Amino acid sequence: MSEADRSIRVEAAELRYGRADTGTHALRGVSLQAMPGEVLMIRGPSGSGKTTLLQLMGALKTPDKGMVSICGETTGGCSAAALRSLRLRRIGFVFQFFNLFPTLSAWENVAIPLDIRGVPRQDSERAARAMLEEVGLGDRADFKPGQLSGGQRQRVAVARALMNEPDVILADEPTAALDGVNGAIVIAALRRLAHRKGRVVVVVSHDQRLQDQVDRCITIEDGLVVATPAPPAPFSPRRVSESIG
Amino acid sequence: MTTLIAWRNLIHDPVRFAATLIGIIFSVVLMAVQAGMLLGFAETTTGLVRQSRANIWLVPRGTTNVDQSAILPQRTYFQALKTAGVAEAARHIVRFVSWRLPRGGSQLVIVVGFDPVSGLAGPWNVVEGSVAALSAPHMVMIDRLYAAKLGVRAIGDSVEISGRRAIVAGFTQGARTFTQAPYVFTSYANALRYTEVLDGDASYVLVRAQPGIALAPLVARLQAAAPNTDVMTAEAFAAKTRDYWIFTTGAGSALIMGASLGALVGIVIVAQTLYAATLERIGEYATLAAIGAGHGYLSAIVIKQALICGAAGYGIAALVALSIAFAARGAPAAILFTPSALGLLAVAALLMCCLSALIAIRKLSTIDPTSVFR
Ligand SMILES: Nc1ncnc2c1ncn2[C@@H]1O[C@H](COP(=O)(O)OP(=O)(O)O)[C@@H](O)[C@H]1O
Ligand SMILES: [Mg+2]
Repeated sequence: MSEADRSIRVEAAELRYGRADTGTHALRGVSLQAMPGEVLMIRGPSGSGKTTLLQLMGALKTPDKGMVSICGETTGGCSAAALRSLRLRRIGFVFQFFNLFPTLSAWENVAIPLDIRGVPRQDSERAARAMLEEVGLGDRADFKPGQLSGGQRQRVAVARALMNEPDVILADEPTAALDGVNGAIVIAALRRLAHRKGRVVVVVSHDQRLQDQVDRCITIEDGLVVATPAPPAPFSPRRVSESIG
Repeated sequence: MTTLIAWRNLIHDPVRFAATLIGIIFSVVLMAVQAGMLLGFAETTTGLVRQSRANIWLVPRGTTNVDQSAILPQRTYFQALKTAGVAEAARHIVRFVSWRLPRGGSQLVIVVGFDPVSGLAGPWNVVEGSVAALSAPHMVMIDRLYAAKLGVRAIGDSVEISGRRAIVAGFTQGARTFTQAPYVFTSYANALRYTEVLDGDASYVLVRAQPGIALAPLVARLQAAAPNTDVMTAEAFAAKTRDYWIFTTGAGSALIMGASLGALVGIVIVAQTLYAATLERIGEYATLAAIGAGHGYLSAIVIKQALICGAAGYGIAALVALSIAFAARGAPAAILFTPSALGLLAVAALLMCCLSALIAIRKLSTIDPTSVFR
């Protein structure tokens, strides 16, 4: 598998909410590329289209115009089932508010993606516990989310996102609900994934503190990319921090 | 894991879970009792025919049930006796008459006059006294269930039937009547004195076939020999009687309505619980959908909640229903449960819960996985 196959490419993507004349033109021709081995940050003011862009990159939506390709698979024209399968195989999601199941223990939460794929419980439990070990929560595997701190919960969510060995990790404001220390721990975990395992990591955030911890930063405003530095060479843990405006 | 999520979702809100269970229990017990009464009715209405030990009944033309019939002339008896393949024939009387209550007033009873020689369609489940005693004049036997109603305390009590003296010679236990007019067993000869039936005539002629004789051809031969009667097997007459009382009287429809109402109550309660529980966790379902779970996976969580509720509710309800049946064993209306009825009820309960899940499952199909990123 070539490197290009493991990137996300967005080309002249447009997306409109509501009717053509009165609806919101949330994305007005966005092009970008997220490469394996880098942490790409997408920032911009509220309402600029960051979330919509992330939804396109995560195969949760398809563009009205333009093209989105995830690891070589183009999302346009795919059925809901095909998009679901693409998400399950390729993408790990990390959410602002963790989206853990409060009634399930940490390991049970982490095992869910495997369960969806039909992996037997014994195997998924072993894998989930090992994954929690990797994010430093081996001793919290049997705790419920309510018994964990915010940072620990987000690490459980990261562990869950990693269960299907996705090529892409998409995180929406992953640190917004965390304090500085916990935010830094989570970002460090995402950085390790990109740099050591060659994953594509895309982080949408307002958080100014993140800018010098990511490799590259894209700003979008009013549905358009306003500054796109060239993507770094794959696997080079170069740190790029550019602030515009 | 869907089972685990389903279970945890349920016990997460124990109050609602308990309320749902109580609803299901109520609903299933309602269905069970209605079904049990229906079975009890079926048993009660057919008791006299099923316990008769006769293979074939000759009944007056157009008879709809064993409790009410016209009169057969004496020659029917001889026509039956002469038919090839008949081992035994007996005249039998079933008549509504009036029983004078010792405390004043009267009670309608059904005099059952059987042939003591053949013993066909006599009393069953005799617990006190002997059937042989009924051959003596005035001797009658009633069921313990109706003793108080008829003002009878013990063997030897003197009573008055159709204005004539009778003496209680024994008791049966559980020989119920559907019409609420208790059966009063006595000999054919005694019955002639309590009814307007003329000596030699009868309500029915009962036949026992010779061993090894096929019943269907014998029925046909008897029908040819006694063309002015209806001839049928005991089984067929029992079914006819049962259908008459259960369906013609509306008792059956009332019970079926009651059971349907029970099912409806159950469906509404479970549906509203599942819908509320699903709505409450819509974000979790959206997360699963975003991760890549299909509609089947999400539905499985809801269906399993429904099945857990259904199974737990049914288990408790079955126990409650069985206790009710046990408590009602001495009541005039029997509530009966057969294993197959309980099995059918389990299927009904689970089906009911799955049906209730449909609204919640429909809600799931409207889930928008993009809602996880806002
Ligand atoms: N589901 C939606 N329906 C209608 N308009 C929407 C919807 N989601 C987003 N929008 C609009 O699209 C624009 C971009 O939104 P979004 O992608 O959420 O931006 P951001 O994440 O940068 O705040 C905004 O004007 C927003 O109001
Ligand atoms: Mg947003």
